[in-house]
Amino acid sequence: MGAAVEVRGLRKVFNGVVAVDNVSFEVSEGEIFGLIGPNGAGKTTTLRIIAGMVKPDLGEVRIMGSNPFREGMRVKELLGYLPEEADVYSRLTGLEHLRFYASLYGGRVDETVRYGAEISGLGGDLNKRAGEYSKGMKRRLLLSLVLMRRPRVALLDEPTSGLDVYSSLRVRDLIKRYARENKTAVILSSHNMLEVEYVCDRVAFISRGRIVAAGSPDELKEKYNAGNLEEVFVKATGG
Amino acid sequence: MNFNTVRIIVWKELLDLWRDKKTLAVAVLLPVVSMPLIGLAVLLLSTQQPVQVAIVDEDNTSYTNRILGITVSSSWLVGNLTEALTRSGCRVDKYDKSPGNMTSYDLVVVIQKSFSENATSLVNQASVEIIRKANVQPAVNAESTIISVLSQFSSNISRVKVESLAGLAGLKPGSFNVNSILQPVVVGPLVVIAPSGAPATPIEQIRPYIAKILILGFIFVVSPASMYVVDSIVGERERKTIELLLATPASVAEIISGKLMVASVLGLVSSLSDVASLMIYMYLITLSLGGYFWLVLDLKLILLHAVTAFFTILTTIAIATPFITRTQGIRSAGNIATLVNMIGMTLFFTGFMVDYPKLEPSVLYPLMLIPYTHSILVIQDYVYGMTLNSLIHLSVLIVASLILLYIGVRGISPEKILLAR
Repeated sequence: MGAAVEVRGLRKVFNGVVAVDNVSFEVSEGEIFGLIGPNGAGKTTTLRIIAGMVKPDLGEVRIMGSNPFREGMRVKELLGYLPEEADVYSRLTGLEHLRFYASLYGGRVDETVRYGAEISGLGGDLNKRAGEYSKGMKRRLLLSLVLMRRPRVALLDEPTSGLDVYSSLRVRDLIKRYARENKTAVILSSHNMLEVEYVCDRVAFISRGRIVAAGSPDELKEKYNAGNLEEVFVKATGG
Repeated sequence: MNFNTVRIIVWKELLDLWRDKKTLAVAVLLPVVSMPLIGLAVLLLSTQQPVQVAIVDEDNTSYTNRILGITVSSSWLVGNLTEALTRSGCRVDKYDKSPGNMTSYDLVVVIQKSFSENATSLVNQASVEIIRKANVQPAVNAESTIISVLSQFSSNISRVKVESLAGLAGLKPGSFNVNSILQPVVVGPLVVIAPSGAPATPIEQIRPYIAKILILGFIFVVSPASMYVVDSIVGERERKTIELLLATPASVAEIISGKLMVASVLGLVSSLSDVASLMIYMYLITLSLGGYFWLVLDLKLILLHAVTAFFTILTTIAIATPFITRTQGIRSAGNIATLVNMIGMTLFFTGFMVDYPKLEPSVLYPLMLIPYTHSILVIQDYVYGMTLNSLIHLSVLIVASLILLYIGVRGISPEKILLAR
């Protein structure tokens, strides 16, 4: 399988603080890739650069062979990006959210909305204003906004952040099922090692802006002689 | 720019705005309430600051001039002054002589000794001293009342004196007119003409006044629109909804343009509300003038005002947007919007006081560099009957607002919006 996402030597500095330093990795079609690290490690900045929202000082990104800063419109059509802590418009219903975002992308809007409604699993609640939703319902709606178009690449920044156990499980299952069915390359950032081990095919540990280890969860556990990914992270970062 | 994308953004913003009843209510009520409220507040507060007046009658006599056969009493003047001042809301204390410390009074009237004798004299003049505190506006109003009473008092004595002298001179009643002696020259009929040169009707005379109120009304329609832009850009960032939107194929320019258009629509709602309140105002004026409301109602002026308001708002928010998008929070963005609004408010207030088409070119032409000057001239030129000039200024305003909009949204990138400092 070819690389859906290619990231080469990314570097970004904000006011003298290095946020991302020499980050490189590749993600194949249908693969779920986890970007793991503590808060402030550089996960969100890396995803924002891949999404074409923040320009890197150095390095290059390719999404299905296209550069997000030179071929922005093409990349936006290929890409689905769920930002960390993204929220909904409280006065719009779930269905209006689906229609609004589907219309922005064009194509078969009704079909896209139907699929979005299906993967959200919100049923009749889609007719309620999103301001009335629980945190888990909001996250499922947001995730369906990103995935309903069946993007070739999905960037999910902390998709289960702040959710309870049941909501987290639903979201994880949705991501896993979706990636398999649609052959979508998923880059998922998290600081929840258990979640990543359950969902991801391969992971990269990021600390202080640098990738300190990368591989499949089993490979990493074997390499670092660790029982779980938390131990791998501690050993890889020298903690 | 893809106009279909802008249309989708506008649809979402309008839906959101329609359900935001509080914002809509403020946009509609602010212009309706503000103008009458200003008038009412000034009226109410001015009556709540009574002026302390002392009348010192140092003369306290009554005197009869035997030659003329006329009598004047200082107590008559005291009575007239007391009645007039009390009617205008002043608190009046009366003294026969100076009570010493007068600092508690805002205004002191001293009827000097020999007032009655001098007032009836053919040689001397009677005088009344007025001592007024500086910087007390109601005291200035009280002073006007006193001067008016004194003028009437003086006029009455003059009239009696002239009639008495005429009798002494042997003139028969009816052979002379007191007014022709007291006021040999008066202002003749005052003719007010319309821009066409024909005599202006009372309705035409109040049209410039209506136009000035319309210009003042711009102040109240620009503010809600600016605050909406602040909320829809910076607020959306704070509510964490903007990043997902920026990731869609909609460009920053399309997103911002859509938001600015809806903000202008909100301003237009304020403007229409402003016009509605003005129509009620005009209706009341026509009732008092005995005219017909539909004669005062100038639909072209109302339409011109609505279009001008829309582009005035677009200009304001287009100027403020590049700064708003680069600020970190709603508070600082709000401050920037207020700063831009202040420039507009200053000019609109001068438009209420000054006839811009009458300004010297050396003053007017530099002012035309500010788009708001054209907003004022659109309305004032129309009322002066210069319809072509009015349309030219409207065209300049439209072009300026679109250029500012283009410049305003051009330099904004997702990174600047997301990572504003």
